[in-house]
Amino acid sequence: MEIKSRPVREAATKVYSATLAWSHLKAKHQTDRVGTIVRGTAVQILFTVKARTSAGDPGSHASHMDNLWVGHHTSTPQNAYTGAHQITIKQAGKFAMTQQENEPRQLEGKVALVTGGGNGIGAGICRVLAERGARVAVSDVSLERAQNISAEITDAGGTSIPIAIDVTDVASIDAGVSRVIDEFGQLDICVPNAGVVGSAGFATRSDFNDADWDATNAVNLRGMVNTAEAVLPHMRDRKYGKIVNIASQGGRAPRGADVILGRQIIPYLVSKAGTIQWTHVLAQDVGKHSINVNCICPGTVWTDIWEAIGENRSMFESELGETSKEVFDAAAQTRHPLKVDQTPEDIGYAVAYFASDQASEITGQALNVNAGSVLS
Amino acid sequence: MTTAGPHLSRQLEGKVAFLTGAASGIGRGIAEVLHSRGASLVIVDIDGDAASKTAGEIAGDSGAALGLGGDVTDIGTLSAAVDSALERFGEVDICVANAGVIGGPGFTERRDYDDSDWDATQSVNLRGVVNTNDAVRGHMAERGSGRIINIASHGGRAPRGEGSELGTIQVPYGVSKAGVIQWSMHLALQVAQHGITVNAVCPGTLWTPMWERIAIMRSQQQARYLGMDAKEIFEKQIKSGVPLGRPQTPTDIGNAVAFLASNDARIITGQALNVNGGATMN
Repeated sequence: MEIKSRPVREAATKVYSATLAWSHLKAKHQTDRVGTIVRGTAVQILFTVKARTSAGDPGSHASHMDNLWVGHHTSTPQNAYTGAHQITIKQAGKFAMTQQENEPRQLEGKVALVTGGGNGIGAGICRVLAERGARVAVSDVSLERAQNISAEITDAGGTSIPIAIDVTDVASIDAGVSRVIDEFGQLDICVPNAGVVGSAGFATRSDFNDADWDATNAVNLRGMVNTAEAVLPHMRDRKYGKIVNIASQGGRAPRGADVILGRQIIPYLVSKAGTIQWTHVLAQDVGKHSINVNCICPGTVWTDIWEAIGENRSMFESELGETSKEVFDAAAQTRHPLKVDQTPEDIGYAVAYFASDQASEITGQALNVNAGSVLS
Repeated sequence: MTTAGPHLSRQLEGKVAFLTGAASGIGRGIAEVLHSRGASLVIVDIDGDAASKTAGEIAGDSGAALGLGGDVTDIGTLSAAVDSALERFGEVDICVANAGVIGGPGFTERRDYDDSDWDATQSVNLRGVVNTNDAVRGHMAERGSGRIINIASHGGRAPRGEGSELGTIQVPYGVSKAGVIQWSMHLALQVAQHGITVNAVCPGTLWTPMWERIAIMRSQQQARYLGMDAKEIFEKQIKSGVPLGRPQTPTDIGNAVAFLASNDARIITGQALNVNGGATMN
């Protein structure tokens, strides 16, 4: 992540504070922001407040839904005020620092569920979706990992809840999805990301075994199917939904006589090819409900999965590198024409785009986000 | 369809975009989106007057858009346009090679291609994209950065199930667009060392003069479309061939181009992205 120069960072902090204050206003009242003015150290938000509808009879107050008054308030990067509520923005500066310059709050008002969000690529996706304005349910098979990432997001001023979900267990994922909808009232974006590279002991084997096929199928493929099936009834009812599956460039076609990955990883590659085909067929199936289904194929990102691959390769193909990280660095260097580090957040940016209404006409597609390693 | 949306960023603030075939149609839609995200525009079109008019309509008196005449089949005119762009704005950050044709003169009256269809699609759609990219890549390489986005078509992926009913008239177009995708991949590998990314966007089905010509042709030549209104044929095509059930708009294509031109897509290169409601999937 690039660290912004000071003036840019300060401006970003201010605009971020204003945007966050507005999202709080929107949640508390029915408000529309009509403008943001940055002057010196102050941020002025112009907004309208609409009448609240009576809980028992939302329809009867329709005539009062017109704008009642236009107000304004002033905020600093540390605090934002509304007439009745004081909102403290924790670590807004830190949060803004990771927000790309001039990038949109393109997911304002949306709710997202990310599986496998407790570390690696999933955590990066959660951070970016939160930065872009979404309320994010961070789910992971480990509640502790989910809690860590969720707390990081809320500490930075975002909105998030942690949920323990085992994607191989339909009851677990159904309960998790219900929890998200209970908490936030809706679910707009689903990112089935949870994945494994193989079964226990993967890093120490030179060949696959039955357990590798079982694990990759159960988590990577069936887990993705389970997750989609759990969110689809809600999305169909609302005629709106964005599903962004996380596959892998390894799920595309193999290339040349590349031996860098070894034979033990074959079940993983096949499961990821399955997730791409699943993306295609699901998109075709649910298009009529205005639900978009797409897929991102990450390249070489330093995560637990790559650590296991690297460990395996350093053991069996020692000329590739003596340590896992050495193998990874060599792979990233030799396989990727564009010499830039690939981060979990880079995957998050692509997910944010597919999850946004700017990509409403894109469905059924798989996009490699991989510095040009595999071209499709 | 998608809209720019009031919350959307100025993600291309300070960038300069060089676009071909941008006086009208998809090219103009892309120009409008890029401008709304903060980019200055160099609008190149074979009709220089139309390019200037479009530039004025998009950017008013702000000076943020320049309209120029340029023929993509003649790299000399493109190099001159790049020189004018550099003189005016000092840099070119984004190149959108969009100019395209569906076939040669008299396209709608033929069921099968003739030499003019091959010549027109090859020279404009394929060599025109190569020329456009070649005209800007030197400058981008010197600066060590750049974003090239070529406009192909989902017709440049694989043919889809209509067999011989259509005749061969659209074959040269599809082949030229397949060439654009392949060229984009090759160029991506060539220029990655200079920090330049190259991607292709493959639009689906849009109601443009190009599609109107296809529909007119079908109404005259295909049994099940005989005598039907062009727009009616277009809507039938959408209903039967697009999972999301909607046509795409130039703004939809512009949104995809803006993403690929933005910092969010910094590690994406050598890829082709269909923006087509799911009509073909890759």
